[in-house]
Amino acid sequence: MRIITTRRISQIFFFLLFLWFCVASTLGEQWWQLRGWPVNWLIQLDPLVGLGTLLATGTLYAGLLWGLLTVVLTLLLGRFFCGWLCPFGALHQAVGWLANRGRKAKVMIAVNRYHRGQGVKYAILVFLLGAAAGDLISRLLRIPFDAPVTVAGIVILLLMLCAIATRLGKRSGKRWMTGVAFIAIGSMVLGLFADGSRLLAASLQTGLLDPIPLFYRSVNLTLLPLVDGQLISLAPSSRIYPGIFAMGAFFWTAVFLNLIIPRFYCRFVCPLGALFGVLGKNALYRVGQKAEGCTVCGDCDHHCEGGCEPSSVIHTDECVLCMNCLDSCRHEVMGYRLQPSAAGEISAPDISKREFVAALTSGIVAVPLARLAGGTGETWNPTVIRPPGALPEVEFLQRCIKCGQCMRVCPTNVIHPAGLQAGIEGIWTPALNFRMGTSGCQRGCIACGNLCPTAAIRPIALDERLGIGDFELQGPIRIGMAFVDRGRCLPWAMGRPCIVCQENCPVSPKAIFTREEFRPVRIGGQLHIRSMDGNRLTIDGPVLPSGQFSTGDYYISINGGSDMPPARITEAGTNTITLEGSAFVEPAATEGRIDLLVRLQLPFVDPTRCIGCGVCEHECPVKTRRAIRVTAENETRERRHQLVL
Amino acid sequence: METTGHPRPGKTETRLSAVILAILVMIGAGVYLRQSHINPAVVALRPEAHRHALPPDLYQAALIDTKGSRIAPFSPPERFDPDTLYEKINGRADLYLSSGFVSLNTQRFTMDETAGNWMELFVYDMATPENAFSVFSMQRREGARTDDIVPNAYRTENALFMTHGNVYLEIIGTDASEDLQQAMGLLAQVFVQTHGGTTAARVLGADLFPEDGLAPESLQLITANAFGYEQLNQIYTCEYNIDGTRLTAFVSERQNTEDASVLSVEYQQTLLSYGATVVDSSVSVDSATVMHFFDTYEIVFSRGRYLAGVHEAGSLEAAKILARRLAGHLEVSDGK
Amino acid sequence: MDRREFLGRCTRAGLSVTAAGALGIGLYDGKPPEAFSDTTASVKIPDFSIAEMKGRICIARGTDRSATVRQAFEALGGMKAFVKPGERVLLKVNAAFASPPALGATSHPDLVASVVRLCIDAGASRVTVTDNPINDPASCFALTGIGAAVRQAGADVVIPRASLFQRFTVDKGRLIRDWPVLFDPLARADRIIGLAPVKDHHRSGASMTLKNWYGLLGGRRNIFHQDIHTVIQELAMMIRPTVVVLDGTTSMMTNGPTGGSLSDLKPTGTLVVSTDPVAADAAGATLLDKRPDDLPFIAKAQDAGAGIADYRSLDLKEIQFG
Repeated sequence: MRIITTRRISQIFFFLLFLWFCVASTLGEQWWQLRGWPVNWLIQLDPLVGLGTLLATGTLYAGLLWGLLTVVLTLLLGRFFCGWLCPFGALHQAVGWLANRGRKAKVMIAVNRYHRGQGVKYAILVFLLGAAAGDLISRLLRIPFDAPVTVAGIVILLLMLCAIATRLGKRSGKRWMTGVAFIAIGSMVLGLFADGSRLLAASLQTGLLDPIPLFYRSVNLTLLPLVDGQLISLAPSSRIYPGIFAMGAFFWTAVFLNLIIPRFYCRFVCPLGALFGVLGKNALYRVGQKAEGCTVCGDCDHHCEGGCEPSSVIHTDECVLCMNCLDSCRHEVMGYRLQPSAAGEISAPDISKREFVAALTSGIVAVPLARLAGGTGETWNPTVIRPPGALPEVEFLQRCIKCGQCMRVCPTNVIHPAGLQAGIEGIWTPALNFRMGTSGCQRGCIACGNLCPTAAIRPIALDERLGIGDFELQGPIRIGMAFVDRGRCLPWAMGRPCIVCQENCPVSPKAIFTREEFRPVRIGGQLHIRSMDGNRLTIDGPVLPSGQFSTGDYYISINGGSDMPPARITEAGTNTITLEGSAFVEPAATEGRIDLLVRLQLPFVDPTRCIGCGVCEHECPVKTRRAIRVTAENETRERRHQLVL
Repeated sequence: METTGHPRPGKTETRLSAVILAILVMIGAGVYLRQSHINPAVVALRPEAHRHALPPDLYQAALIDTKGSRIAPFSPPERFDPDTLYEKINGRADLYLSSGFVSLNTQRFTMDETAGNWMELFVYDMATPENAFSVFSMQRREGARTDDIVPNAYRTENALFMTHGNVYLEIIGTDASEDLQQAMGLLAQVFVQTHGGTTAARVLGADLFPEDGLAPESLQLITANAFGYEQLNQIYTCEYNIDGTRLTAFVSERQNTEDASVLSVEYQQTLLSYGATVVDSSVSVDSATVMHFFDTYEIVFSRGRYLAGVHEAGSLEAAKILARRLAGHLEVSDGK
Repeated sequence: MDRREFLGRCTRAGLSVTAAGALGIGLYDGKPPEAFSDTTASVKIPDFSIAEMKGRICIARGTDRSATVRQAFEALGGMKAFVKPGERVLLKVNAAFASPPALGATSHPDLVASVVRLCIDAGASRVTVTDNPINDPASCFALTGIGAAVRQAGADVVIPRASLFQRFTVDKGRLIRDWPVLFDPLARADRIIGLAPVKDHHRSGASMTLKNWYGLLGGRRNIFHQDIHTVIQELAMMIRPTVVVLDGTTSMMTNGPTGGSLSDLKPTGTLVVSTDPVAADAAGATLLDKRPDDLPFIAKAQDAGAGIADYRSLDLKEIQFG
């Protein structure tokens, strides 16, 4: 069996597995629903997710240990992930093959030649990892320098390093010393002027370009909703994700760039590929030529997926192990061996020291710069409501990879990718919007946290969500709080009876309660009693619209009603009113003044009960800008957002 | 291991392919096996995941043990406290809350789940028999017929209402069928048997009123704020029909004689301050004052520990007759 | 094939695999993160009180703050009884508002300066003065006159800034949990003296030595106004001072805590020096024509073990001056 056939099978296998995981991320217990399908497995295999969260948080969370397997295999075999496993890579390869079938061999050989721009992805990787490393660096800098032992230890270590460096003769000891001195002086000077607390911060942005989260969110949020319907029905109603356009456009751009250069994304942009390039630099096995027999026919370059030039000096770090060169070489020169290529190889990533330092520094500096806006502190945006179980914002941004799994699995479709409202760092992170979806955030649901691969949303238990059992003391998780907009609320602003929010409040005891109020109705004139017969009054005054006041919400009071409670109207004709029971015991004087009142139940929110689930906002009949809206005030994940004691 | 390119695949290549394909099969099998290990998010959707939200004893124990009968509970019992009562009964909650409400337990029962008719049991714990009787008497439905199972129970077409000890009980059926009516009677009987028997069901306040002219089933207990006057609590009222006039008598037992007479005077003063006028007419009842208020007559007096009187009488003569009878009856009662 | 190079490559691959494995497994954490990262365990505020001076209180009558406070300390055994040579002393004043000293909303600069001198005379190696005021800190210390007065007397003013705060949890507390506290000056002091004027307070009824510790809190502390008496109780649990000085030379009787008019003030000619802040506040309540029972935080602070409200049961000295 040809090795490229096996490769194709492997690619198709993982691509279908990926698609299956996307489909199966539907909450439910049917065979095609979530059940126990390991839908995050491909994300967990992605070592960039593990490395990014490791840098940002100092720990490797649960399933992300799978990434270690990928790392170890890459260290031994090279970039097998790109050529054999990555479903995004498989898509690019397929599209690239389709699009470039008709192009001449000469053109393809030219297109597949190594391009200097392929080094850009390393700069991207370094930038993203730099952005994630701020916290780690700040922790390292917090080493107590005033302790003599520590200082002595560091000095000895540095001296040893210098000695080794000098002995190896690769870099002069002088340069090392200069570097160390420079860093020491720099940190001392900075320490003089700043306390350091704002100088460094970590933000995990690898997910923006990391192909696995990117492909997951693109398929789950921009493709599946389009095909979901007749044949397969994954959601009870069409999924909506506002602000998705940029995400989709980005995805399709990446796909269509294959028309120009096959695997464009993999070669020029992909930070995961760059990471594998670095890791696979010293791989035991590598693709290359044997000593004799090469005629420089160019066949190997013709179908090269990595753009690594197997025909001449091969760029090992660019080779995605597609094995096309092995297959197309008619001279049996190409092989996958322990030896380096006879024609020579370049295994170091194409990034100069300058570029490296520039990318790293800008990554480290970018995050504190973004934080200057104060979005994680004083100027936090209360309209960004995070899913239940989400970590405090700073820690959340150190973990969220924007994979969109929470948005995909949310049964009510209330979790959406944020635009810029969560700050530049928070783009495409999950935020709840209760105007959309089929209901608010369901109290009995813990799906998002249990699907989050990095625990940016913690995998909470139902007891913790509801604040029962072991969690009785700390109470339920609140994601925000509802506020009544009295200027838009039907009863508050317009005197129309409505208690939809109160009725739908799922919390027990209800967080929304009402207070009764009788308010005069505007009827354009004054009513008087003409005669009274039992509980039936004939009245003088403006003609009443027939039927409108017979709903049971309308009452009358006589002569200001100071001594009697208002009496309920059971039926109101144009000039007759029938009252409920014998409301007025003594016959009221004729000519008595009648006030037509409406009985309103005005909604209030009890801040100690409201969990911010947004069901009220979702159900509010004021459809555009709801008359009751949830903001993240009083959310439990940030103590600083506490509203009431 | 060495792989090189060939026009035709070599042995190494084929073997390697076989190994890789085997790995893929293993991965597939692993993924398939993993899917039976249900995600907690999915487990949380199962109904049993939400049951523990209710205290287990409440979930298991039916409010009324119907074993051995053809009635079976078909919903878990639910419990409501003063904070949550309105979730169940909405606007009617106020009446209960102002009358000492402690808790409400509800449960649905049915004879045949598939038939679609069932009844819902409401057990209101009102803390005292007086409170229970008060909410019972104040909501007495029109067209009710007295039930013969226990004292203080009546039925309407599709429901049974009962006061028993501290409890006010309602059983509301989905339709007016005879079948349901029988089942309600059975439920009420079991309830009475398991809650102190018929002895616990004494009729409160009935002996306070003379029988002559008494309208049947008209006894009411107003626990607070009777006749719109704040000081008047624990007031029993009865309807009378005297010489074709309907009028209301009321009696309340106070702590002692002094309390009763003070309250009597205070209430008289309050009525006067609201515009009642004293009618110069002797009733031949000590301390009684006859007042004309709007179009009706009010008589207020005290007799021993009792505050008593006639309320909203349309006819002065009838009022005076009733007051005399009432005073006489209370003198006998007080002497006991 | 170059044997040496191959061995080198194998070594490097082996080392890389080992390093990656060690890092990955070493930093592996199967458990999800906690809902809140608790960073507060390490920070502790020491007990600044002196055991043998427990329950001492002096109520001094007089109108000259400098002289009266000197006499009052004298009556309790002199400042030397509180501050040993070489110790670092922190004065927590009330500089909450950027208003002039005459309006009585803040600690009087004369009094603060006198206490600074007493400390220096007792041999204090360093005296610092601090408060986290409501208005802009720099303006507050400047306009109240405290800044200039204490610098002249030889003390330093610590203007609060973000890096001086640490998150702190009051043991058994309900409100002050993981809350930013002006910790750095506390950590750099051996003794702490609280200086507070007697003021009416709209929310708590009175602002005296216990309420004065509010100025050590940072963050959105206004949230605590929903339960002011409990937060004062927790402040009393948080700070065990060496001694407090309650200045009732003039008292703000109305419109507290800001005042703003001389008509809000009343000369009450009393100054209390006490090692028991609860007793000091109970004594101060009388100056506002209140009973200690009118101020729930006094009983709450006593319940928390912060002191004794019945100041007459303590070692009480009353002196008259001038």
